[in-house]
Amino acid sequence: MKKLLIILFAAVQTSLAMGQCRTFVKNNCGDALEGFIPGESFNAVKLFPGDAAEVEMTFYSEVDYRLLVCSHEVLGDVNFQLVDKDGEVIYDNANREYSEFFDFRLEGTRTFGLKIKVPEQDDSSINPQGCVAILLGRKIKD
Amino acid sequence: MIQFRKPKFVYTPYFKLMKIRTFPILIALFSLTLWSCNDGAVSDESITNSEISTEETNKVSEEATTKVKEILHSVPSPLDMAAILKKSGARYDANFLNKVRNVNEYSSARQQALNLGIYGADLSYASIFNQNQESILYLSCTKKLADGLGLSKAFNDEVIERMEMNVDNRDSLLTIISDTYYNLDSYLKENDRDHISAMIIAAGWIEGLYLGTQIANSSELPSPKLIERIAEQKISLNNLVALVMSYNESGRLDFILDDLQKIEDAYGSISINEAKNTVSEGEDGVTQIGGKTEIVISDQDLKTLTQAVSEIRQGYVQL
Repeated sequence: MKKLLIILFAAVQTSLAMGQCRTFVKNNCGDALEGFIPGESFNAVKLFPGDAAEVEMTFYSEVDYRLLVCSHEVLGDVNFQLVDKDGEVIYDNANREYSEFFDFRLEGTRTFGLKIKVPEQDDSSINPQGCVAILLGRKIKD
Repeated sequence: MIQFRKPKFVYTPYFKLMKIRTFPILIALFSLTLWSCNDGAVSDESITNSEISTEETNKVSEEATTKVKEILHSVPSPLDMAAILKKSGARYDANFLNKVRNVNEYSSARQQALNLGIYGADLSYASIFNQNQESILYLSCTKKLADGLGLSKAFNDEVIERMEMNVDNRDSLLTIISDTYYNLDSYLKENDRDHISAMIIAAGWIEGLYLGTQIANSSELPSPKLIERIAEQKISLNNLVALVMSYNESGRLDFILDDLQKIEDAYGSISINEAKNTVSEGEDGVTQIGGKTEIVISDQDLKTLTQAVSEIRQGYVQL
């Protein structure tokens, strides 16, 4: 019974978290992709301070991309890096005042790791949780 | 050799971090959650504060982590594939698309999900090549399948109206298509139907590759750029496999993994070598990531791949 309740709780919470993130993305992130065709995949998650996430993404050559890591302001300056398969950092938003987006194009098709890190917060009595969404816009040219 | 491996993903689920004083609190929170659902009070802004902690119920919350899914994966969409097909000199040929009339025959959830992916890729292909009336027809097919899967909330009649109003503006059409598939994907994930989302994405990717290989094989002298683009899909296949695996807890997606294994085998002798990456600032302020990709693919490789993809796709569209 205890286990069942836990599973039910987890399922409902996951669904609610997704729903809240979906609303957050809709209300807060779309404008930053103006001029780009937005991606079709929903990639968002709720994170606490100190949490990290990593995802591998494939980018095609000769496409103008805008990679947007849109996060709730309560999380502070969320850091993200693009890292190649040799572990070399291609881009680090810490070098650009924690800009939420990165515009780029590639000479050859590549898979990079996107590493996201939510900063720790000093006030340990409050543990704020917020959405972090990854959106990829591209320009489609003939 | 592409290996089926666990996704490289280190997201720490929030359940693991949530610290709760006692089990009754968990029950109370659960009740509160249910109450808030009934009340329709899922508020925006996605902030919750939790200040409670003890060791005992850390165990409880750790058990709960088994239900949380690693959700972040990225696979290029059929729209991307259609765009590179056009850019590489491919021509439009409606004969390669799944027939519109077939849509009424797909009755199982599996058929509907797979063909929602396939018609979506066909829709992207038609739209990229400015086949606007055909695009609206294919959008209607996707709408019908979405309705069949109970996704009407995420794909309402307004989408068709928007398409019709913007029929002469390709970028608007592409944005509407992207928005629609984004809404479907988020709705499915929100409702714990990730496996349906994975079927749509995988079938869309396969249809994109099917169109590319069919176009290449129908031409006496296919564009080298097109062949190169087809070979490059080997790179994104890894990500697709990772995505499907992450949503395959109950084995419902085993058949797709088997199919992707066949495609992986067909890609076996196609080699891709990546030069070292360089980073520079372009004149237009956009960062340029240099480093060419060298691809080795023979005519036989292309035939083998075409055959493998065609058989899998045929299995998905057949009635």
